[in-house]
Amino acid sequence: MEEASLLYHGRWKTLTRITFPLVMPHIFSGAIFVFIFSLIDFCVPDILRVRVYPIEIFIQFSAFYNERAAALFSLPLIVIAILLIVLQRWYMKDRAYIQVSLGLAKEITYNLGWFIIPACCFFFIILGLSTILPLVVLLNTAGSFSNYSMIFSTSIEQILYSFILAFIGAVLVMSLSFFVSYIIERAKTLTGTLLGFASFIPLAIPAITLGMGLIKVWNQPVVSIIYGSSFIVILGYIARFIPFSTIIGIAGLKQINPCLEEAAFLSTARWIKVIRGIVVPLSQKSLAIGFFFVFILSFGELSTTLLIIPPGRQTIPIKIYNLMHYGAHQMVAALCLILILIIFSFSGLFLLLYKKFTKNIRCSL
Amino acid sequence: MLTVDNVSKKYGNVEILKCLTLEISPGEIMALVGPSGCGKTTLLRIIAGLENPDEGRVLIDGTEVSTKNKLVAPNKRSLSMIFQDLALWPHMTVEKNIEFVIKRDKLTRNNYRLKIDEILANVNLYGYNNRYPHELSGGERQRLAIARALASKPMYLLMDEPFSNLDTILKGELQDMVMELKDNFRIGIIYVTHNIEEVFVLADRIAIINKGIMEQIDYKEKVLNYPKNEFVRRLLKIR
Repeated sequence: MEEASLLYHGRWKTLTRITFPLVMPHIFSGAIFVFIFSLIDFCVPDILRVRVYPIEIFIQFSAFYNERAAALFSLPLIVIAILLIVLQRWYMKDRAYIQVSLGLAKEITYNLGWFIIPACCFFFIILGLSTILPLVVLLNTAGSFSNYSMIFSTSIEQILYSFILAFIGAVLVMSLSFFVSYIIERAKTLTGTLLGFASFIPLAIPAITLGMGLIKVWNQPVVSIIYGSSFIVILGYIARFIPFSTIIGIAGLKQINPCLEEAAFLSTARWIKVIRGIVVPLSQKSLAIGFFFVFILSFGELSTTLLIIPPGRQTIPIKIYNLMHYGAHQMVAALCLILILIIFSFSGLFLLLYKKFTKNIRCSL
Repeated sequence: MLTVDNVSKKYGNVEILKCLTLEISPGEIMALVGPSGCGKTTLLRIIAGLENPDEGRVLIDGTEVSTKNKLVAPNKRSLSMIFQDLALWPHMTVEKNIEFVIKRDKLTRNNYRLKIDEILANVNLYGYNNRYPHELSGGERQRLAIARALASKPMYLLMDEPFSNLDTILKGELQDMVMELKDNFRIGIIYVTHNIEEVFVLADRIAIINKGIMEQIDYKEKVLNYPKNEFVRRLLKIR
């Protein structure tokens, strides 16, 4: 499409008249999700000691033990978030410009000319302020190597526990969201629409409210075995991250030409054989990306886990949170840097495997 | 005999097919001709069982397979389809594309492989077993699509403009292949095309559709000699 425009117009006009309008709905969608995520986030403002609205909910629940007030305080956030999700879905209707039949597009490289200087400056300023500078401060705070060694040896159990929970959570979330997104994308019926909307509802619920809800549901005599086990944390991950993995799943399925499934249904193939033989292999990329995304989010999840973690257990984010409140800044900095190293290593390994195993995957010819 | 009996289909308020009727016997090639958007592909999809008709029915050998409320699964209709963009499974090799559609039955592994090799040899793709579809040329892909469609031994074959993107020489070769299939396997073929020359080469009968209505259906000689109206005359470029 860009090449078709370049035959008649310059790069700037192509960017503003073709590329930008086509990408705009997705930018808008992304902005709405980031806004909702920031609106209901509790962890970062709490660590930075900024008193935002979700902190009030937490105070009502944990300091005053007033569940009713906490639930009522959540309502405005839920309403705003639901309205924004409805707006996003309305805006994105018929605007997911995906060319299925043509397969993967060839990359076009533009020479940015002098514009590369301000573009790079902007990028490095944002990257510097948001990532590099905090990392330098953490390095400076963490102190000597002995601090790293000490905090690592005392946190290995929590690291492993977080890793296992995040891994199981990511596998379950992706398996569930694959089927949810398949129904949403392929069954263009009322069921699909309702399921689509239902899968986005957790996005609108503040993490603390979600934690409160999980406690209310599972802290009952009959099901207390779940409440007292690590499974409640995995349920929390499922509830929190299923909207994100569903978005990724839908995006992946949209790129698979339905003809490929229809061709399989015409042969002597059963539904499960078509899913296993055609849809899952062609969705490998989105499944892998979704798994990685949910794994990273689960690994760092604090807001819900803080409320539902079983007694005697600690995930790494909770350990960092507690250490921060005890004022052990050196230990916190060292542990954070160790975690960053672990996540980077995992990401590197993931990218390596992803490239290796998805080399021959094409959604279309 | 495959029968389409008074089939109608609407998308929203738009009527795609209006009381369409046709019949095709095994060993016969029927060309479905008409302008873009006239409902040809929708008709094929209804016959294949990928969509329900709003009215009317589809019968295969006297058994009702599609009505508004009934839909026999596509894989239980003894038919196969070659899609316009072929729909070859890009993550499977040539061999796996074939293997996916054939029943292993009680064949031993060796006999099973021999069967796949035989199917590939029939379309001159022997030795291409481990190639992926994107590693094949346009003509080879078309032949793989034909091989896959025939691997399940269908009684009827639906072809949705399968040779629309090929050069004349390749098109000629593949047309010969289709004729051989018809003669050797006695398969009934419904063939959607825009190409009038293709119609005259391949078809026994021609069905001309315009805006979802069957304008004329008959043996090609009859249609050529006695076009029913001006539309048919213009479409088939008959003077």
